Amino acid sequence: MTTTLLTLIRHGFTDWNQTKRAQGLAPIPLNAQGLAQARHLADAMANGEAIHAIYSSDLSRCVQTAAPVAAVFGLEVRLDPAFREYDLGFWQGLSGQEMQDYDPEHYARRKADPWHVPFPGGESRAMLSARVVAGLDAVLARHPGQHVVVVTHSGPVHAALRHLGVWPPSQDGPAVLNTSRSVVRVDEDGRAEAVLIADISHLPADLVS
Amino acid sequence: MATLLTLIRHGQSIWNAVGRAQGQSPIPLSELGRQQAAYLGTLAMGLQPPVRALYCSDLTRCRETMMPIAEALGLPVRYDFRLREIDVGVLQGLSHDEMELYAGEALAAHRREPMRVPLPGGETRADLRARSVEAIVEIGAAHPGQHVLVVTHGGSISEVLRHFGLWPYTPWQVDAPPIQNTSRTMLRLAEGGDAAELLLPPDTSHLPSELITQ
Repeated sequence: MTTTLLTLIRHGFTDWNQTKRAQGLAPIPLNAQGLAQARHLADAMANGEAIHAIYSSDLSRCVQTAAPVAAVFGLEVRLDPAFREYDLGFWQGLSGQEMQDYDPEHYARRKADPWHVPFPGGESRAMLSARVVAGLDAVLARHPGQHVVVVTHSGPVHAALRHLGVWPPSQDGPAVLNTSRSVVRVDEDGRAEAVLIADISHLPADLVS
Repeated sequence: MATLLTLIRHGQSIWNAVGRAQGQSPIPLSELGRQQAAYLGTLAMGLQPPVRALYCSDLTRCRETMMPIAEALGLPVRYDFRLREIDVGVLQGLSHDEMELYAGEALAAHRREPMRVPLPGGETRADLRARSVEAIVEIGAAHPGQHVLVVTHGGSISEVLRHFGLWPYTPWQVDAPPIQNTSRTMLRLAEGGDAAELLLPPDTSHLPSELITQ
């Protein structure tokens, strides 16, 4: 029985996280706090299970989070758009409250059925899940029995944990904070067991965001 | 018969005021924008010949700008997504500084060839021009000999003008005349829609000077 260890990491803090602007595909980089978070993450992972490969969404906030982790293990970050955040379409840059205030009808429809109803001009949960799952399946198939890291976004982390069956699909999921780690053991039949969910123990309290 | 077109750019929106790229976002008018729009009812009622039809981008900032006009004239509004601003793709929500810092190369590539190279994740100027012109020409065909008022966006107005050879400025030319919030631009669109005459370049004389915004 070959078990693959999968670590899912959400990128570090950015200025838009701070001002609550939903980023989607916006090219917003890590701010100073986010860079510090990424360094703490790398230090913690240096003391953990060796990793064999590290993948990342190609959006800059993920690439910057992945870089110090990859450096610890002498690995190259493999970029994959399958691990991008939701395309928020015409709601990119709005806060959650603004989405509700400025487009109440679509907001209500999406809240009632996020699986089918996309962000206007963007993706639905079904669309995001399809690409994240395809990306994950490819990664797991490529690294049987190894420890592989995927640096990604809140949407994909939720989708991955739901797909792996380690989170109830009907709920919104735990708070997946910046640089949080979720670790899952996956066997060759795709059965998964959660080791850690949205853990931020690598961060000092004053860096948590 | 030719169609007389009054093209009005929406009032100042919240993101206009803070300098964030809007694209096709549902950002509403700012308080100042609502004040600007309030002057459009009187303007519309004074237009000669009288306006017979109203068309509008379906984005919030245009709908809100059109409201005092529709109320004053008592005419129904026809909404058309083709009259929307350019889709700015992944640049939506970024300030000018953020765009230069985080998307400088993509922006420069678009500016070098705006008709061919899209804004990242968004449209080219050719895309914007094609749909804006299509909508305007259709309006002309539907309203021969009439005066039609259209509320739309700065990019849309400039592309329609460029299409008819009436605007010899690039989208980022610093010395181009501005197409200001609630500005009024008047065109005579020839029958058949293949030529137009600029009767009034973007004009804000309906606004008190302290309410004029870029």
